[in-house]
Amino acid sequence: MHAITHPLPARQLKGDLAVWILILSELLVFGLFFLGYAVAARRHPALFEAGQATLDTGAATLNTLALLAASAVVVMAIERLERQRTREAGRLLALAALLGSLFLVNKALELHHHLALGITLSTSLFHMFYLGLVSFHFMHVLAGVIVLSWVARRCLRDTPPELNTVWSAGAYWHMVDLVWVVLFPLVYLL
Amino acid sequence: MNPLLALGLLAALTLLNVALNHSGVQGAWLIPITLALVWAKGLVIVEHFMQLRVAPPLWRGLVHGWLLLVCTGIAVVAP
Repeated sequence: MHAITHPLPARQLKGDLAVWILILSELLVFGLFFLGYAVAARRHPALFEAGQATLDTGAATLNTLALLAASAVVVMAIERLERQRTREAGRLLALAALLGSLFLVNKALELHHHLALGITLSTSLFHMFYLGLVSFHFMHVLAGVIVLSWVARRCLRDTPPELNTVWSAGAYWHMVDLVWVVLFPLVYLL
Repeated sequence: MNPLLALGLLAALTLLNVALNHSGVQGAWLIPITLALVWAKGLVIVEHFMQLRVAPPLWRGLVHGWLLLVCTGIAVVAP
């Protein structure tokens, strides 16, 4: 008797197609936002330079490292899950959610600081872009942390979701990371 | 690439970018170098974290295209 074998596809999109379409849509929206920011900064260099000087680059650097670390931990978790090491994957995903939460707390403090000073979206063109971009990204990190926490909980209970679902969650998280990798230097450094 | 190695590389590129922009050095090359470092970081994330290196060329090309377009667009438009 011969075993029925299915050849593995040579190339595979890891995750749900609908999630990847969502990822591309989000990238497109953020991309337009970034280009809009760059055009506005070129037209009002003094305003954007003054606004940028009020931002805490140290905290933003720490946040960048937290997001990158969370992404690496997600990759490690998925590798464990692919080898059926479910509990280990769950612990790593919980760590990734914790690192994401660190980003959220840090960012919430930064936003609270600006709001306490009476700074809003209508304060200036710089603040409209800065608060708009950072808040929009914040909501994406929040959604990512919720999804990672849910997958971690399922793994820790030994009832992991389908691998395709975990791949999708990972891809979404990495998209959030990829967007921040562009956003951070654009808003805080350049 | 090992995820911890990738993380080390991404952290090093991040700190290099921060140091470069806080060194007080000014010049026309500062923005292209900053964005080249951003592109390099994005490359690691797309290829090794999102695992698009094993994805169909269309999807790989779309995400890489986005990254290249955004980095180039900012470099061209930035003051």
